[in-house]
This record gives sequence, C-alpha cells and structure tokens, in this order.
Amino acid sequence: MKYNNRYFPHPVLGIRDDVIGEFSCDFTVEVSDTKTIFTPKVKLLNKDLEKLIDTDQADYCMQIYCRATMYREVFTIYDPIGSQFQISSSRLNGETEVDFFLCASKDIETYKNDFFNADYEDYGFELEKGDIIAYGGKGLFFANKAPEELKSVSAIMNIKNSGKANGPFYNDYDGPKITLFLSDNDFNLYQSLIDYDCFVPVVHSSIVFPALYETVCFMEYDESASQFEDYEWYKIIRKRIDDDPGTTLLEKVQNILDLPINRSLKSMEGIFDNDNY
Amino acid sequence: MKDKIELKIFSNDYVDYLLKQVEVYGKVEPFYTESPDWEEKTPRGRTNLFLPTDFKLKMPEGSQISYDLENSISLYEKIVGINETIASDPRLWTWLSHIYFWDYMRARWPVEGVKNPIGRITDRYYMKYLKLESLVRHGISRLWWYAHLTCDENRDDKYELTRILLSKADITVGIMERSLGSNKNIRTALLEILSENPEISEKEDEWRKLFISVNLLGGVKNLPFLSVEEIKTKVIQII
Repeated sequence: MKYNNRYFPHPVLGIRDDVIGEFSCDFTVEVSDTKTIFTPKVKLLNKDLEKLIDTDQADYCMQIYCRATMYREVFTIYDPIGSQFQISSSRLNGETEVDFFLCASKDIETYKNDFFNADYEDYGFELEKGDIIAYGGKGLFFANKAPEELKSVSAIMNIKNSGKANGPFYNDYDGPKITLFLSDNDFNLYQSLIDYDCFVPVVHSSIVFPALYETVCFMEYDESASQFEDYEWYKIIRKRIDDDPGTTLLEKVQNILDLPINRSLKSMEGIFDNDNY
Repeated sequence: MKDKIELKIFSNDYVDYLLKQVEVYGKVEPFYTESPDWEEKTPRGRTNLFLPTDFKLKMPEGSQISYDLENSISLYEKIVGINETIASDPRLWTWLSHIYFWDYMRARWPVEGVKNPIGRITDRYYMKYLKLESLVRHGISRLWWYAHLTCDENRDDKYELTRILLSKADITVGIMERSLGSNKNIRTALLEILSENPEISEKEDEWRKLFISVNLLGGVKNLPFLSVEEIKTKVIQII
C-alpha cells in the first residue's frame, strides 16, 4: 500500500512539504521457527507533534502487512526506542511491508502546528481518532527467508536448457524466479562444470552477471517491466538495488553478486597455479 | 485401513511448467478431460498435512448452487497441519486442484463454454502471484481462506461471519479482493454492518456504496488502528 502519494484533508508530516520536521523510523527483525520479533525505533522532530504524544492525543504506530497471508495489523509503539512486537512466524510469508505512522488517538477539535507549510499557516484542522498526522515511511522484510537465502542467486534465478542446440542465452522473466535459458550445448557444458567449486565464480561472472545486469536495466529503463513487479524475484532485486550504496547500476549488480569478476579471476588464477603452467 | 491421507505438494518447477503450458503455449486440452495425465512431481519428504480418507467436497448443482459455504467450512475443519504460511504455498493448492479435487474443480470451475478459458484456468487452477487476490480466487485455496479469515470462536455460531461473507458473490469479492479485507477489524466491521442492516446487504447499490466509503475512509485514516465498533460508527456516519 502506498501512502506517500495520497492527498490528506489536513497537513501530514512526511507527505510532500506539508509540515516542517522529521519523522524517521527504522526496525530490526529477529526470526525463529515460531516467533518473529519486530523492534522499531522512531524519531520525531516537531515540537507540536511531540506535544500531542506527550498529552496522549497521538500514538506512534507500526503497520505490518503481508499480502501472501492476508495479515494486516497495527501495533501502537509506546516506547520510541524500546518497544518489541512478537507475532507467530506462521502468520507471514514472503514480502512483508512495515509502515510507520503517527495517528490521532483521540478526536482533536483544532489541530494546529507552528511548522505547517506557509500555505496552511494559521489554519486549524479537525482530526478524528485514527487520522494519520505523520508518515514515517515504509520498510520491507522477507519473511521465512534466511538472509543467506535472499543473497543467493538461486533465490532469484534458475538456469535451464532452451531446447535449441546452439545460440545465445536469454532471460525469461515470467515466473517466480527469472529463468536463464542456455542452448542445449551450453547447458550441457554448464552442468559438467558447475559441480566443481573452482568454476562456480567463473559461471557467475560469465552467465549470471550479464543476465542480472540485463534484468536490472530492464527493470530500470523499460516500463513493461512493471508487469512483473508482483513476482518475488522482482521484489528481492528491487530491494537489493535500492539498498545498495553503489552509484551506478553496474556497480550495484557487482555488489549484489559479491564482485563476480574479482572472484572469477582469483578462481582462474587458482586453477592456473594448480595445473603448474 | 488408514483413516487419513497425507496431502502432497507439487515441486516448484512442475508448477511453473504447468502454468507455462497454459499461459505461454495455450495448452488447455487437459482441462477439458475427466482424467488428465498430470505427473506426480512432488518433492521428497513429508508435508504432515492430512485430510480424512473419506473427505469429499460437495459437488455444485448447476451454476446456481455452489455449496461454497458448506465446502469452505468442511475443508477448513478437516484439513490438519495447515497454517497461514503453508496456506499461501501455490504448490499445495495446485496439487489439490489438479489431483485430489480434480472432479470438484471440473464441476465448480469448468472451462467448457467459458469465453476466456486461459483466464479461467490461470485464475482458478493456479496461483500466479503470492497476493490476496490469488489466495481468494484459486478454486480450493479460497475455500480455506474464507473460513479462516471469518471464523470467530467467540460467537454462538462461529461461522456467522463466513455465512454473511458468502451470502453474495459480489460481497465476497468486494471484501476479500481489496486490501481492506486483510485486516480483521475492518473485515469484521463490514460484515457486521451487512448483517445488522438488511437495507444495505439486500440492495446492491447500498453495499457498493458501503465498500466505496470504507475505501475512501481508509485513504486518510489508519482504520486498523480503530476497534471494530469505532470503524462501524465512522462508516455508518458517512454512508
């Protein structure tokens, strides 16, 4: 669910420049077989909103929403740095959205804020319980997936044979994972090499790296890629690209694959040394 | 004699393969046959999901009597070992719709005479994306999810809300295929309003207005933050 493109009948901190101030939120997740524990941290910099919290007229809230299990619940955060929320791990599966709000916990006859945008200066707004008065943004979490699993290429890609004897490989995006179709001859060679650890980095740099780069360019520059945005591979790559500190797509893809060229060159150097050339 | 049967799941690859056969290659012939030769491509290991050996879904009678309510309650009560995570696994529901409940699927969701058979098949026999629309459209998964999301042990009739939900197909779609249906308080408030106000539930214009109003309200308010009674009061005020 998107909140930051909505038009509210009153100014909302965090939506465009309605209100001056800061409402930043973050969370960590701890997962066990039975429990998933969310630990949110919120920071609010706006005196009038802080006053609403202090006078029990507003609450910090965290909404957890998982489309795959029809789970959508809101938790009230009473301690901005020390609250924890525990839910059964079986309630979530796959992409889970975590949104943060500041909501009116009572009806407020006249809501004013000294830090309203000049357009609303001196205006008062009537608020009802549940009205969103600040939006702290969205975080994503992939439930029932270990961090290693999300990082692994196998979480987002399959390699299969295309049924054609020869020819270039190509990506097929229509499925829960991207499928890289190699020609039959290439696929046979790939299968004969992939069981040797020393060749895995070479495969990563020669097959997976260009395929992933092509995918990321497709996602970034081709509007038709949006038809695949409900697939898990899309969400995982999107999150990894958005979170990556790299400045170019080329850099980001190399980071996602843990510097495939470097690993490949080192591996080839090892093969070269072992063969005593 | 065994009194329960352990359910299976298809492998991920086989589910992808089957769906591609329909979507990409347009191969819909098996869906017109009584006994298609689906392969039992299942991963190794146990599922620990069980149904009584004699369990059957009630067959619909023509296009008018679907028995969705009866089937929803009986499947929900009889399937053992399931939780929400498992119930969002397309491999389970695809196996059930293609193998275990094939006769039921053919009767409830036939492709004969349908304008867009590929659409019907991908909608009702597969779960292409992991999201609420898929869960409540798949021919078998919808039955479990309807009862699961509306069963309330604190009521005299714990399936009271399930009965309201399934009283009209458009009400089911209106609540379950929108994100507002994923929150228990909103779902309960809507179903209670429909139950307590026959002047709304019996007139299509009125309940459509109700859904639109709740959607608009949810655009500015954080409805899941409110109690069922508070949501009901606010919704009644604006319709």
